[in-house]
Amino acid sequence: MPQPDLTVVRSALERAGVAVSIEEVACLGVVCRVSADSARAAVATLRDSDLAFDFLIDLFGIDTGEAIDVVYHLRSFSRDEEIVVKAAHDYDGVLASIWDLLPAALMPERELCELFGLSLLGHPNPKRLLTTDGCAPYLRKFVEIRSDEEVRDRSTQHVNPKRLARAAGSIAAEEPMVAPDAPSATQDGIVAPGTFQPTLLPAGLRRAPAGVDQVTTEHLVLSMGPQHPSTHGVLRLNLEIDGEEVVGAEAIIGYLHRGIEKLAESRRYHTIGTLLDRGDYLAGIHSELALALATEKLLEVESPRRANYLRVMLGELNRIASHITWYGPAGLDAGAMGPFLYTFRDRELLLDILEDVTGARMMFNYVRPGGVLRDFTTTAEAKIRHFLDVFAVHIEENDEILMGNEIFQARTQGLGVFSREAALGFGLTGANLRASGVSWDIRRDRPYAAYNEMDFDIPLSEVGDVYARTAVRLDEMRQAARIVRQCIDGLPEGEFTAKVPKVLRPPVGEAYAAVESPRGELGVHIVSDGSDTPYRMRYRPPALYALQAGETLLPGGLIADAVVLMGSMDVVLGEIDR
Amino acid sequence: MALDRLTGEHSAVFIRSEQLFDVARRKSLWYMAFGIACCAIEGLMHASGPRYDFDRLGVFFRASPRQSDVMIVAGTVNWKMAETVKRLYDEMPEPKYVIAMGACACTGGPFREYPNVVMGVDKVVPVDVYIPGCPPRPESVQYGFIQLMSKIQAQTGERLASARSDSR
Repeated sequence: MPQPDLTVVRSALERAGVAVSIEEVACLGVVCRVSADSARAAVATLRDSDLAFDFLIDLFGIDTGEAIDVVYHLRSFSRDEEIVVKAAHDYDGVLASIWDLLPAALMPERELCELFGLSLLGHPNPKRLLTTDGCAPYLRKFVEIRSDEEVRDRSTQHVNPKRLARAAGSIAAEEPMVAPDAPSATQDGIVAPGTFQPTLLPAGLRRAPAGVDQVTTEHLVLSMGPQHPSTHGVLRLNLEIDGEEVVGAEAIIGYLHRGIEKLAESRRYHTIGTLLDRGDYLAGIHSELALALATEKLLEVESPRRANYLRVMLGELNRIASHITWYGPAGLDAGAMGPFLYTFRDRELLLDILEDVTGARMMFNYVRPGGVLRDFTTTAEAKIRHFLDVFAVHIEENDEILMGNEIFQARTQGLGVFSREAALGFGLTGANLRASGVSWDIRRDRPYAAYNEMDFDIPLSEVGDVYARTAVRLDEMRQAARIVRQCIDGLPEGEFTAKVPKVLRPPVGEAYAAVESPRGELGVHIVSDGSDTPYRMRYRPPALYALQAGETLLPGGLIADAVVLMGSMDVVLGEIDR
Repeated sequence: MALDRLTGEHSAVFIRSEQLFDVARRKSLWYMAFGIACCAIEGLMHASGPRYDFDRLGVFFRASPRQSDVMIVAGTVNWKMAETVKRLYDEMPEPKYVIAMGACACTGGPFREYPNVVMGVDKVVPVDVYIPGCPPRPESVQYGFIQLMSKIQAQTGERLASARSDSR
């Protein structure tokens, strides 16, 4: 990982009056430690100076036992460097929001504050994100998970924490996490009837000038989800609509929050994959791989070449399977039933292959630290070759069915455009970012496993609308099939796993490893204390960043387009809520 | 079953109305398109996809709880979701059935230790059929539906027996 020059960082921060201690941490890179009060200033300096760290990879917290370390992980695309800023906050401290510097921090900050019990200052929407009122700050070390006895005894009656809190009278309504002396944030919420000034209308829609015949319009707040056939999971969108037009939108998540990060702190390293599989349940191989890479960095183990090839091959097969699961329903969102049936024909073939090699259709736990769980099977090769031949024909069919459809083109071209700056500011990664013209792919720019031996192109588009995102993903499927063919032709002989102990005890340290999952940069940040379980595991969810970016594009569009737009961001709620 | 093959021409068939309804109910179990987590991919999407094609059994998805007979709880239910699950169940018209699909919906699954997770959806709504697995294959869900069908058939007998004992 390329690292910035320490003296340049130090002088830039000290010129801005930020006291900083800089160290180089193995497996993680340059870590700047600043005080809680100057964290915001440090991020602003790093963003605005020549260093140009203008991309927020991740923002999360670590309960160190004495304080909460808030970690800002930043990247500079122009200089191709990464840096970590850590600021120790007191247990009931205040987190100064950086959302106006880097809008990608909007949702991660809310999540951090509720899961660690911090207050949030200067945030436009300081509400709980994942949990309900009355929930404990789960990621703090004093909160314990249910014991074995409690879990085995199913007669235990647990009570909804929200109901408990209501009964105790500690909360009246939705309680915001604002610092007591916070300045009142501007409320971009519900507008009083009659005072609505329409924003820029989409082409083709005409509106009578406001006030004609003394007719005032009223807004309706529509709760779309969590049970809605087109929100791709338990996503809830609170849409404020004026007729057919969306005026305001808020994404409400947390309906699938099940504590993957917390439970990982009590699991051994080779079993965490079980949880991560269920995080991004469409691309299990990728999240397992990110965990395996991070653990291998700490253990200083290298996986054998055959294992790397298997990781790449199954990862790319999984990528096709995931894109297919997105492509079919993308048609459903726009009103086309056909693509769903056609694409799922291919997905069944893919799941057969994955089942053959890994033993499971969806939840693999196949990629382990050190290599893979078991060797390639003899029957799989014929299946993969058959699939590649069939898929080469089917992909062109699928392309024509949806992309060639004039209605689909008319509905998606020019809808939901992300400029290059907006995409970077909101922390988009993967196909969403590449559709906005940023050529960034971890497989090429930070090669892992066997990707440096593979020959593949990276589809790009400059347009940034829904149609471009669809086209980029479709091209990615073709490239993935190309990589799979290279892997199956050149699969080397040898061991499928390195020699690692049965119980892994990585040395004390921190490591971050990222892979290019179908949804973008999927990173795993591990803090090890030398025991057989990680002290803290952070899972960087690319879909969370895509969701909050999509949310900002909804106002001004039509309600039918909202479905298509959110669908095009390819959100997986298991990964967003974790 | 084609009735005209079993009975002669110009014949009449006597059947209790409840029995008739149960026959009809068994043959068209429409489930609500309500996927929570990973199980939804297997139990709802692949199930209605081209290979498993639950439509053959008359099992098909409806978008609204008002039109559905069965709720497949396909995924982990946490406290935030539990309120919605209960509400959706209340919105479904009688008679209604619940299938708890997968380990999470049955017991909390791999996430049961997390305090925010409800240990099984049967703490929230009554469950008729439990399907184990993580996630269960679409075949398992199909078997679950067949079990539910036989359960509905058995209900007819129970109802008749209770009606007889009432009239006595």
